[in-house]
Amino acid sequence: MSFIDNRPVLIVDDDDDLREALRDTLVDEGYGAAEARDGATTLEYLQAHPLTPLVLLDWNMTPMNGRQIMDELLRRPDLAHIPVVVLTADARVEKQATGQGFIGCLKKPVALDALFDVVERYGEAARATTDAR
Amino acid sequence: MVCVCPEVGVGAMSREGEEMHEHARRLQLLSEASTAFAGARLDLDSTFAEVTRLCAELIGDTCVISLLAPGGEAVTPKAYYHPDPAARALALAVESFMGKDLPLEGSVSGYIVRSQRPCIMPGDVTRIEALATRVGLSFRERYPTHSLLGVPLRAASDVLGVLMIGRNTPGRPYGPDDQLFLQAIADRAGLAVQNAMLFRAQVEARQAAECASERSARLQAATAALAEVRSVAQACEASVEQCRYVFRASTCSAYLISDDRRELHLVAERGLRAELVEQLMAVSLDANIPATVVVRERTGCFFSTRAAILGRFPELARYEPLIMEASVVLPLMFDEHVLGILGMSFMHSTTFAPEDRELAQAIAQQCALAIDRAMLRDAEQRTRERATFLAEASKLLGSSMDGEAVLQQLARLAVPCLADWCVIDLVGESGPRQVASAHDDPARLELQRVLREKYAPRRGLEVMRTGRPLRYETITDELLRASTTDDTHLALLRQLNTRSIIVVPLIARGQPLGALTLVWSESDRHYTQADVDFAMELAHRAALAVENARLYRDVRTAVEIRDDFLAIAGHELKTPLAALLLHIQGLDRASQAGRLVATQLQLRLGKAATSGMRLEKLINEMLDVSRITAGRLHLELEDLDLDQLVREVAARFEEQAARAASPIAIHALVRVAGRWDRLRIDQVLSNLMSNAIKYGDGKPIDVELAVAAEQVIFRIVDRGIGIDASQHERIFERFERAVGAHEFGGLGLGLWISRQIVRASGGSIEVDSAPGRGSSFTVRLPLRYQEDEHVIH
Repeated sequence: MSFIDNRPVLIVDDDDDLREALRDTLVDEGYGAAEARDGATTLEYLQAHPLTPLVLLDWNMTPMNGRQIMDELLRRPDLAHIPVVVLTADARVEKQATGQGFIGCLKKPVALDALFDVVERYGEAARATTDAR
Repeated sequence: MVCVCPEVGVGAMSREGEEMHEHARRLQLLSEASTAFAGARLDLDSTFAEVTRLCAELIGDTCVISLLAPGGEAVTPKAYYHPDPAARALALAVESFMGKDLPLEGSVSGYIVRSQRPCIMPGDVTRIEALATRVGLSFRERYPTHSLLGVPLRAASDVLGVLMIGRNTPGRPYGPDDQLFLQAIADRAGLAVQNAMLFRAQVEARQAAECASERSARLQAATAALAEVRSVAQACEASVEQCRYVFRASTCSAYLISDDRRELHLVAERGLRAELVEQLMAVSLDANIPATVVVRERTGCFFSTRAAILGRFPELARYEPLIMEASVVLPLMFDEHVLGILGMSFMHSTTFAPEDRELAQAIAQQCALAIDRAMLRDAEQRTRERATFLAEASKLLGSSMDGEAVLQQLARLAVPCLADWCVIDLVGESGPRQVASAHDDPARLELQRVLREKYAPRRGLEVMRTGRPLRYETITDELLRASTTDDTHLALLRQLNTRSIIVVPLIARGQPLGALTLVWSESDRHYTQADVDFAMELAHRAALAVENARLYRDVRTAVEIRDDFLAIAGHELKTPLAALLLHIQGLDRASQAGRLVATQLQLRLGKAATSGMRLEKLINEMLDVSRITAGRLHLELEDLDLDQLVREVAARFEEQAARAASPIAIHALVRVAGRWDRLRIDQVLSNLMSNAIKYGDGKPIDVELAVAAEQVIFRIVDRGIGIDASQHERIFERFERAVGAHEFGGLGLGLWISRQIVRASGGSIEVDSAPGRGSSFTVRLPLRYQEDEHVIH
């Protein structure tokens, strides 16, 4: 197990239950998962883990929403490259988010296949660590 | 004329010569009298005077010609002569002499007429008792008649009168020669009288024919003029025009009875002085003046002189300088129905012959006919115009759901067919609000705007308050003065030149929503009761349109709120649903892959159940809203220890609070027992505690329970993000949240539901908070709750 290789997927959601459900799902599938419940924690975590392979970011949050957190990431050259997928229950957000720095959008309730599609594509590093374990 | 022959000298005459001379003079007199009678036409009086003078000078001292009066029952002295002016004056002064009829019995003239024979009285006739009664005593004493000769004036076989001569000196009684001579003159006079009578009859016949034909022509002209009128106003104008022309009156005016039948209104006039017109515009039917009497008695009045008017109407004396010498007032009647009156006045006293009166009545009748016809036509046209207007207005009112824009269009539509200007006010939260105003003249519109800025619409307010229409048929300056207190206001009102006004309420569902004001100014028309009815109809439709627009807006707002709510609810429901599905699908996947571990299964099933319960809670919240909104929240009261309940709820949140690092500390908890709905109070406490943890920012939460003044006071205080004062009320509203729809968890209905429950329990809930300083929610519940008051809505 190597700390360098340990690059979990970051799950950002202010709803404890949903965040835990996502984490459990990823962990069961063999991925590493880290959690953040608001924008400040997210930025702090990513600053410390700039090689995070994927961020699942909830849109409806306070005080910073998904859009604002994304804008903050894009402003920071060292973090702007991190792939971010937006999570939302609102169909309108899907359109708003596309092409705004997000690599994709997952609709709540989240379909497992769609979730694993995106995680498989971007989260290989997260799995590797688990495999190493 | 007496023309004495120049070759005959009086003094040198022999008796024979005297007689010859006398004879010549008589022949000459006869010739002159013949000439005079032959030249005479209608006016025989001067001829008679001439003949009596000639006869008196030649063959007597006195001479009188009398004619048989019409009817033949008397004789009337027509001419009298006496050479002494004193005698003439005395005779004329004698009562019952000249021009007065003498009966055929008891007079010499009467005797001659009756007998158709001459009469000679050679003696002193003054002693004849029968005659004494007819001749003045003093005259008889001073001028005794010593001989009298009378002959009949004859024409064919008729006796037309008497020619009589008398001598005041004795000694020369009349003889047969005198009689023959006088008869010769009388015969000529008789022919002349007959000619004159025939001539007069002929002239009179011609005049009568001319008059009749002229009257008929005038009546026809008037009828023709009246036939062309197209409105009541025109009919009245034509009536006064025609009457003034036909009767050559100096003024003529037409009045019509007002709709309420209380007044006469001046509709048209000719010749009235301008300053009088203002005074005479409206006359109460209660007044005692010729016009009102004519309306009441339904017959015309003819006053030949000013004295005649004042005699009948003494109170008119105060207007005396205004009253003309003669006047006529005629009723305008149609079908036993008095429409009004026609009045005429004349500068000079005037006699009204029966034919004149008939003509006047006939013309008045023609005028009444024309007015009635025009009234029918006006009414028909008005009905048609109004139906068209109402149809247009209805189309307009139904055309849009923007109530105020429609009202503005309606105001424009009302000008000029209903009003010179139109204003619509609606009842606003802080008094009436003018939403529409239309006038053809922008300057007037501006003036009205200025007026409204400074002064409240008094009449509009009254109508909106009472819901009853107002009508001022005529706005007088007096009325304006009475309705203002300051000069600027009065000056503005005067500038607006309001003549007649209607204000009707806009009523929908029994509530006055506003007022519609219609004003006639320049066009100088006046609103009637029928106009009020029409305006009410219009206002009713306008009110419905406004009400519909309001309902539409309310419904639209409600739909927007509902849509927002559904969007939020959808999102909020999907979050726990997403968690629930992830757990289930995850377990399913692990199970299929054969890597399901029992502890993992246990853990994730527990979490799935939690999400399921969250879903249930959200669904209950929505059901509560629906129940409360429908008025179906009923409290089930039971004995309850409130302090115990607070402890239970706090315990339930202990774990959640610990996780959020916001421990709940319970302070000053006294024992409080009462009757409340356990589940509902639990719901309130849970909501407040859940909020405190959610927004507590990881800081401690304090809970207090105290009793003061028959109240239980529950307070929960956090030290979290707080709420701005401007949002304190909104957070208790349905579908409202202080920080926007997306940023809270939950439906944002918790506080609204809590307030409904607390209110239903007879208590109150309030918040004290500021951003960054945390929030303090206080619930007050009465200790003794009146159970019958717990109906909630």
